[in-house]
Amino acid sequence: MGSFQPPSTRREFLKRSGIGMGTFGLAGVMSDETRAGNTNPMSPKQPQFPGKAKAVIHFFLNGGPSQVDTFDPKPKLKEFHGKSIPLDLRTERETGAAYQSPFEFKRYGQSGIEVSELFSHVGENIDDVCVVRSMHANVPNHEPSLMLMNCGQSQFVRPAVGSWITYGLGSENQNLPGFIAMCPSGYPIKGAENWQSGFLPGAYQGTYIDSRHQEIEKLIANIKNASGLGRGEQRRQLDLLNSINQQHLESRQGDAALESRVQSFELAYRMQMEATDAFDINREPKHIREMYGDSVQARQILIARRLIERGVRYVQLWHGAGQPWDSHDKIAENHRRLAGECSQAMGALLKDLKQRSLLDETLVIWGGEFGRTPTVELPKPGANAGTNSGRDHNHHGFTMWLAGGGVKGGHVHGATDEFGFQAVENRVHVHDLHATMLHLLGFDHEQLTYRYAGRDFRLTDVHGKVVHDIIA
Amino acid sequence: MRYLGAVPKDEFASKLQSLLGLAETENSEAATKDTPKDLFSQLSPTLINQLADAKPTTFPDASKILGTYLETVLNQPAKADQDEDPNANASAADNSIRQLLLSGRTPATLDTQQAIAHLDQGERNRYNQLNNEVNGVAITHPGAPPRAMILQDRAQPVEPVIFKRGVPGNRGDRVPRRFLQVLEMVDQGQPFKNGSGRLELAKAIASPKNPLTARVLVNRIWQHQFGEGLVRSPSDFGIRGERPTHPELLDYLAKRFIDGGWSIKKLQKEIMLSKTWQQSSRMRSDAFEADPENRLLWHMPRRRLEFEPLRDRLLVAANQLDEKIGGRSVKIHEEAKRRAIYAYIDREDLPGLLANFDLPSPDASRAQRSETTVPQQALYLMNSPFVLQQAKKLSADSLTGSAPFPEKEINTQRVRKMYHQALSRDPQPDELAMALQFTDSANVNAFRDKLKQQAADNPPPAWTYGYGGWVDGSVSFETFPFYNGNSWQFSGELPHPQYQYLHLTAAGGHTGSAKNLSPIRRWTAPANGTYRINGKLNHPAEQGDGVTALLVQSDKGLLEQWTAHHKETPTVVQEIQIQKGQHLYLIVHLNENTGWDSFHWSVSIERLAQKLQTVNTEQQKLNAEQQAGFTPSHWDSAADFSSNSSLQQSSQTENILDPWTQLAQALLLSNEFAFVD
Repeated sequence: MGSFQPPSTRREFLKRSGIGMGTFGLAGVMSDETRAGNTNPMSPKQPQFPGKAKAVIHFFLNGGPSQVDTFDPKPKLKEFHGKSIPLDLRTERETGAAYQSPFEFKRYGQSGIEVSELFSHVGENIDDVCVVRSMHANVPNHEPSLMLMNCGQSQFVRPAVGSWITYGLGSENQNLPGFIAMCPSGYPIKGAENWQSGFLPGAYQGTYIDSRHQEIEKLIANIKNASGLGRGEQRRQLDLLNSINQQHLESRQGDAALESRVQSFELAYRMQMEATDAFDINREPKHIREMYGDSVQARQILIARRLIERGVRYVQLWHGAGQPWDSHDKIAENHRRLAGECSQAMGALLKDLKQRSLLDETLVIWGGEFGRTPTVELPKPGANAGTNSGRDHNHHGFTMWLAGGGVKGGHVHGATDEFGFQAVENRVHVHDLHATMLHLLGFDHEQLTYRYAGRDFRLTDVHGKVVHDIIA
Repeated sequence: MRYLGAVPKDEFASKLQSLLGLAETENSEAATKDTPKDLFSQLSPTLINQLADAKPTTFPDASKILGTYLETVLNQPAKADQDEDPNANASAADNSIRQLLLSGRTPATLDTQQAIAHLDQGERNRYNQLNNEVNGVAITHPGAPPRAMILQDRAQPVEPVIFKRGVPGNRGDRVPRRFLQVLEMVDQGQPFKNGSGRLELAKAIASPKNPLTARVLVNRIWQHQFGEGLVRSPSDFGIRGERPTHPELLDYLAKRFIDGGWSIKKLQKEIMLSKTWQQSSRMRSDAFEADPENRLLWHMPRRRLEFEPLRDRLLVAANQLDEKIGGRSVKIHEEAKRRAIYAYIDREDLPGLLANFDLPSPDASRAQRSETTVPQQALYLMNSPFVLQQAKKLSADSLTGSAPFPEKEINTQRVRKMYHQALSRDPQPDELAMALQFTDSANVNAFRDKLKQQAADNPPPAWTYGYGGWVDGSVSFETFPFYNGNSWQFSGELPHPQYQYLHLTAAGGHTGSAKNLSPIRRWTAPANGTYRINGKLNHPAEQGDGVTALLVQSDKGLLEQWTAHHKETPTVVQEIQIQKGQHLYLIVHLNENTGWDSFHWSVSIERLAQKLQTVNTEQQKLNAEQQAGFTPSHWDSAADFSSNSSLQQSSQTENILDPWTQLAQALLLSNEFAFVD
């Protein structure tokens, strides 16, 4: 539970930790902070204590991947296949008998953690992965669960995790957005609300990128001059602008807001080069591109590595528009196809981050908004193609995994029941995950607050416990 | 009929006959006990005769006869003068049945909702589609009335209960709906009495006895003027909020505000007429030492324009602002030219541009906008088509007459004009010198050389996309200003309020609402020669009256036309002689009626080998083409469809920023433009 501290102490604290209010909303007023020229909300800030992780890559398998088909093997399902199980848990739709996984599981690495054939490429890196098999959320519906996973709140508008983290840490690269959400060919369900800044300043809203595109001008707005002004010409024009601004500044010495705006044009000028470079995976050597594979997923995952490498703080990678992982029917076919699109590149990312010594400071997170039932979804006209071949949503228990950024590798945390339906051992709520993420980044989740409408808000509201067991 | 339906099957034939007998004689007397008395009283003799003649043996057969009868009655014209009709009686009965059928009060008549419930999947889809179109008209039609959301109280308002620790399941005491306890001087803390109490709440909020509302509002207005309020925690006037810097002033203004009838305009005026507001924004080091945060308002803070006024100011500098009052909102992050107070905000998807410029999330209330400086803001100003357009317009507007003045004089005038339009002042001597140096003849000439070089390096593209038409024997053609990634159109909005669905895609497009608003593909001949046109015009919709495709050559006029309606038509012209630089216009216009005018038209143009030349080998052919000065000999409207530029390549010469336009843009990007002293 968060304890209320007297405002003066809190303000004092915020000042010390470098995330003082002075950064926000006070430009134009000659406070000490703005005098230092700091109107850039993304300028890097120190965390509350040294965190292992500096950046986050979040694979969002939107729609909800099935745990018993990926990272939570349940041999019991084979035994009970087609028979009812002694568990009565409500999910969104009606489900029936136990439904065994159509996929083979195999032990990987020194840790011997079992992973299904769907994610064999992740399996190859399992000694760097911490599998949390005891996740649970609140309800079995997409929209509220997406909001819970992304913003820690289903009912009210709250900032996304990426917004909180960039609010706390800024970004290491001022030439790129600090918080980027990539999704090929459109938005996931709930659209831009998944990366909203809520009551935080708008600058902390995630920048959406349609990763279907390959041309830089379609990835980042206004990154190229619409009239094709050449680089040399633009330099000459900016020099002119600087001279004009210099004249203006002469009689207005010491106004940081004016100076930082002058600087912002220089930043933008450099950003054109840097962003183009960051998003251009053709600059990667052939063997790296081959390691990730050749697909939209591979491309966006490789771009994510290039962004993190350049100091971007938070990259969220959505599988696709809508909710592709929502396999209410034909799960064997659909999960295989979906995993086929991303598994290789996910494995490659882990390997690649490790070989670049970036894994230690990059927290990689994998999961959906919830998991799926171990029981088969009963056919319903118009809902699941009338077949007995899929699984319903399941918030009672599901799996997520984390890698790098200070989590234990080759480790399994928590467990579901013998059928994989409900988290029963070392349960980890989404709030606990958020608290742990913030901890890994160097924040006490009870202390990273923002005052809004007379109250100090935090990502985890009044919930959340750091899961120390998964921290290395 | 219900009675007949209840008759057992095997008794049907006999029972029917006896019933019919009854009906004929009913009025005379003999109604049996189990037959409702008025059963046949209104039955038409015609029907009775038909039943009697046909002698149906089953209920379904009898129903068929009834059905046929009802159809006949419905379709026969009403007889006006019944008196002269020999079968007046029968016809009167038929007529009343007919009236009944037409009135829709029969058991078989469905109301709209019931009818919708009976639609099959296909019909339902169609119904939804049509319904969406109707709603679309209500939303997008220029003449559609404005709409506002209103609230309606539910009959049984919720009785609020305290949720202990915020947990809905953990219920505490009931709390009657009432105004805030700390402000109980307003209404003595009485619970609300009327319905939900919304009206009472509104009255309590706006009560002259309630000092808080006026203070908060005055503080927000002050904050809007000065950047910071008299209370620097604008949404927290409680014990955890900041103390006012000037409590007496806050109360004075709040009182004046209430006395002035809550007029924001009067309040603004009063603030602006004050000496405080009219102070200079100059710094004074002694004052700065004493009060670096300007809490005592010793100077007017310099304010950076928020996105909306900045954008409006750009449009003003380019003389482009549409100042129309009222009406539909526009997307200010696109090309719209209306004032930004008419910004359309999509609550679920705040455009990235607006978020980059500090517009807060529209989902959560925010008392104060943050003021950030991020490079994305600069990128928008440096590179976006919108800003570049304003710079071009400003540059064009500043052109002055040429002769008989010397060039330097002309250029000086132009710089002056630009400064006036952008910054409302004369340039300082050194600013003028800088501008003249930037635009001096050497630079302009270098720019012209570059243009020539570019033209030589990149011959103009064969295809240009625009709209216009073939009217009264001549072609009008304007290039489309906007490309959305798939289609050329008038702006990001489709349907566009004025140009409706007018657009061009790789495969086809949609006509505009008139013949002179037709989408046009213009092809420019790269060399003299003979060309062949192949293609297919397809108008897929069954509805509407089809479209007409025209092939017009710039120097010869209309060559050919084809019409298609719910079919595919080949569009072939075997041979056309064209001179280098001449155009072919591929125009598609609507026929008589608007609607359903979406079409596909794929066209390929092939350059035929010169007849006189004997071309035998590939090598010879290549040589011949190289001599002709070009290599391509085949063009395809779909495959060549241009998607690589956000502005049209064909207008490259206008599009490239000459030094004057760059100067204009620099003024629009300057700090002086973006800040108010």
